[in-house]
Amino acid sequence: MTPLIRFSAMWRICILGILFWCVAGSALARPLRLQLKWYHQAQFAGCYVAIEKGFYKDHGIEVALIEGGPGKNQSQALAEHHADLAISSPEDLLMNRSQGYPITAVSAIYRKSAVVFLARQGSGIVSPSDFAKKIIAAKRSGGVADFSLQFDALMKNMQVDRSEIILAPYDVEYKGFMDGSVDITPAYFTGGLIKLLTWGVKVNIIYPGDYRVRFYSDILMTTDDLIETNPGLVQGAVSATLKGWRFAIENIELSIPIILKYARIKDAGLQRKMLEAAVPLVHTGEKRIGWMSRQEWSHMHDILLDQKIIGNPITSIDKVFTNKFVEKTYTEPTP
Amino acid sequence: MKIKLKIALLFMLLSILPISIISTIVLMEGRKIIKQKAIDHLVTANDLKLDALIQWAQIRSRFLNSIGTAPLLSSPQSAALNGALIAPDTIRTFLKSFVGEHQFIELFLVNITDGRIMVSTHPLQEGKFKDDQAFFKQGKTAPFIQDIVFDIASGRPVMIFSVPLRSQTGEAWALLAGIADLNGLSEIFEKRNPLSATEDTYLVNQFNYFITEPRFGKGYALKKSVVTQGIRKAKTPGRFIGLYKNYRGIDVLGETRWFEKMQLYLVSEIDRAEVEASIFTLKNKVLLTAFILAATSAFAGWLLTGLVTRPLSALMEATREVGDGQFQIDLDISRRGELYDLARAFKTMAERLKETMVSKIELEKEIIVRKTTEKQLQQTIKALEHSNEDLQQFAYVASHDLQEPLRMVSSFTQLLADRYTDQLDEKAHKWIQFSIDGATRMQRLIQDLLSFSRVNTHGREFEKTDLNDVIDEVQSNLQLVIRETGAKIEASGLPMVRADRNQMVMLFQNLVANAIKFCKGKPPEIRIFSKKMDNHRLIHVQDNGIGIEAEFIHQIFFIFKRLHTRQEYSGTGIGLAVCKRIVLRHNGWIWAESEPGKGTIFHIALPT
Repeated sequence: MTPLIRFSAMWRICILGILFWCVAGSALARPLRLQLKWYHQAQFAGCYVAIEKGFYKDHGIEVALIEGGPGKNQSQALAEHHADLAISSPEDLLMNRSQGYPITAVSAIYRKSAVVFLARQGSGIVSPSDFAKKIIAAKRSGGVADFSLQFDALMKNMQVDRSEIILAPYDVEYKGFMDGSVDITPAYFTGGLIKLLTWGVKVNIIYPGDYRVRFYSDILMTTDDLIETNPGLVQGAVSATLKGWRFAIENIELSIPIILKYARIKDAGLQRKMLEAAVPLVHTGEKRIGWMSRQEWSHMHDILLDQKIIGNPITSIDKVFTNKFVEKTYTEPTP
Repeated sequence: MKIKLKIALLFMLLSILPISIISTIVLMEGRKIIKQKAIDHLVTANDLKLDALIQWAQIRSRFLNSIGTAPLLSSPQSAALNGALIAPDTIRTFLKSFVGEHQFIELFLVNITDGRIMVSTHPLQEGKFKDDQAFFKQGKTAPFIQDIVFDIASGRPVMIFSVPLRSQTGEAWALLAGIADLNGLSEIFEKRNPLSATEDTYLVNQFNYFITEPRFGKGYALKKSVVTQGIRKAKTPGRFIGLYKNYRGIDVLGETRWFEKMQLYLVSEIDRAEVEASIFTLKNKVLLTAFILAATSAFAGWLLTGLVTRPLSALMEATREVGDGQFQIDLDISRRGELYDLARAFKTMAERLKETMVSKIELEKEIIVRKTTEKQLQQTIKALEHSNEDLQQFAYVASHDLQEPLRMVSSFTQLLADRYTDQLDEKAHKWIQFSIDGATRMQRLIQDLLSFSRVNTHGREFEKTDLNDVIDEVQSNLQLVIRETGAKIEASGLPMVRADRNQMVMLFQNLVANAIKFCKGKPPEIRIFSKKMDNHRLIHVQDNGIGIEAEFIHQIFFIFKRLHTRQEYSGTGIGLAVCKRIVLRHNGWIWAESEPGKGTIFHIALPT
């Protein structure tokens, strides 16, 4: 071996070592834990696809999904270091942030809220103005806070007299709605609505967004600490998750088998409808998938503050979210 | 390898180089033209689509504007009072009359202050707020076209046009908005070149999502994204033209154009395979043409060579036939040209050769015949010589040996007459005289015959002989008779010849003696002179004698031939035969000319 070749080989080893150190620095020794908002279902299709298609691995990330459900708090999971990232609701983030807990939204998965209010067709209830004197199953129960939140905001926006409204607990089985004892029920566009439509119920859909109650639904959030200490990891997670969602939106047929590997309800038809319903909420046609706007965060913050859901106003709304990972996702070539 | 094949291959090889160069140029230019044509086609397609898109948007925008300027929407009665319209049903009815003309699927009025839909052709939409929408935010002051978004209510992509409505005072009091029917837009992009199997045109929004359905996909609008090299590179310069992989992962030639005003990409593509199919077709055509040209060239070479080799082959065959001795050759000499000139010359040569060969054969036959004849002649000559020799020997022997008994007969008969004169009567004496005369004449005959035979048997060697001396000797020998007859002999200028002098004397003596003898009643005049003729000397002996009848002139040299009786002229009739024999011995010849009464002239030709 000539001295020149020996020197060149040494340099190569050094460069490889540096690269290895960089990669090792951006990865965790253990899998990245991603806390989900709810049970495994098509709602999280992008995450499943990103795992199965190896998008996370492309960024050197192993991902372990933590299933959500009633009683599971995503912010708490982050706070207690049970999870590194979480898919949660914006109100969850805003409430915790207002209390000083440093979590930040790194991407909005569902950029339009999936919450809708349903009334039977022929009931004459077509807008929030018609809610007066009606029985509405919007009372908060368990972990589902966004129904009551959006209901309150909706009523306030539409200046509906709350005293004439009878609130009933939200029933995931929609028994009251089905037997007529409940006039209006909230539901998820991607869940309850599909269930009711599957049962053959014809409904009027009142979308809160049309009445200036505009919330994101699912957001991807993490701690400020992780963003600061390991931005590469966060970037990889955001990029892979959004890529997974893009794939899921563009390839519904291919995504269904992947979803079924995770979903509790192994009903391909149901999961397909859920995913199809999710598409316009994730990909609205406005801005890129995952992108967030200050105006919308302010709007959500103001509603929650107005409803006294959060006690202390967040002085800098820009701390609540960051688009830098989303922007980098679309400006940098995918690995 | 035959020359024909060689020249055909040579023609082909010679033609291949220029054909290859031309084919390559044609192919390269053709490829360039086809590619440029495809690019031009794509650019034109995008131009047309862009024009159609702009026109589509302008038509809707103008249409919306024209609705907005209707008195119903600009009159004070229609102005919003505390957010409520004075005549919403009238306005709804009015707006509904404009829906469904393939332009707008929904028209609605939005409150300028809070973004609420005051009236809509779709009543369920009334009361909803659109204050977060771009068409509201940016359309308050001027007409606006919002990017295509997904509408949850209708469950499909929509494009919203808006125009501010102003009262007669010019104050904007509401927005007139319309949700455009995107089917019209899709129709624009679904109109593709029917001649192309792969041409694809579609719209992509700024977030890389399909806005219209591509040719090979359904349900793509706002549901499928597409990030091609064209889309990645088109935004900054405004367009990208080139090869890339399209949304199907297929190599295409495409033009992607960024339309800033509407934040859309216009994409026109055609499969590379289709473009290259044209190039491939061209390539095949060029190759086929090149092959045909090369083959034609080779064929032309073959034919042209045939024009040369065919007569050459015929000539070669003819040469072989001539070589085999067949001179009757069949050659086409009807045409013009050097080769046919050669064929003609060859045929002529063959014909002449044939004649020559025939002559040769005949000559050879003649030679054989002549040789045979000569052989026979030689044999005959030899036989004749033997016969002559025998004859001469016989004549000599006979004449010599006969003389002695004859002399005895003559002597004893004379002795008988002398001794018995008295005893014999007159008759006996007469008869004895007859016997003696007979014996004497016979003796003379024998002597003459002996002389005749001695010409060849007792001849001397030839020597230089002066004929003047010979004539002198002749005159000397004949002086007696010359004197008696008064003959005049004139001889002068005679030549010197190689001859047997004695025989020359005998020759001329016989001739002079004959001339004197056959001169009846007048003195003989004899003239001897000479002339030169080629390789001979002619010696003439002319007399003024009685002459010879023409019918007998050829008989005078026969031995014992007499033209007159012994009573008229004495002699044995052998003199001229001896003359002839002497001349022949000297390789000459003798002949005579005569006219009765005018004399005779003898011509003697002797070799010099």
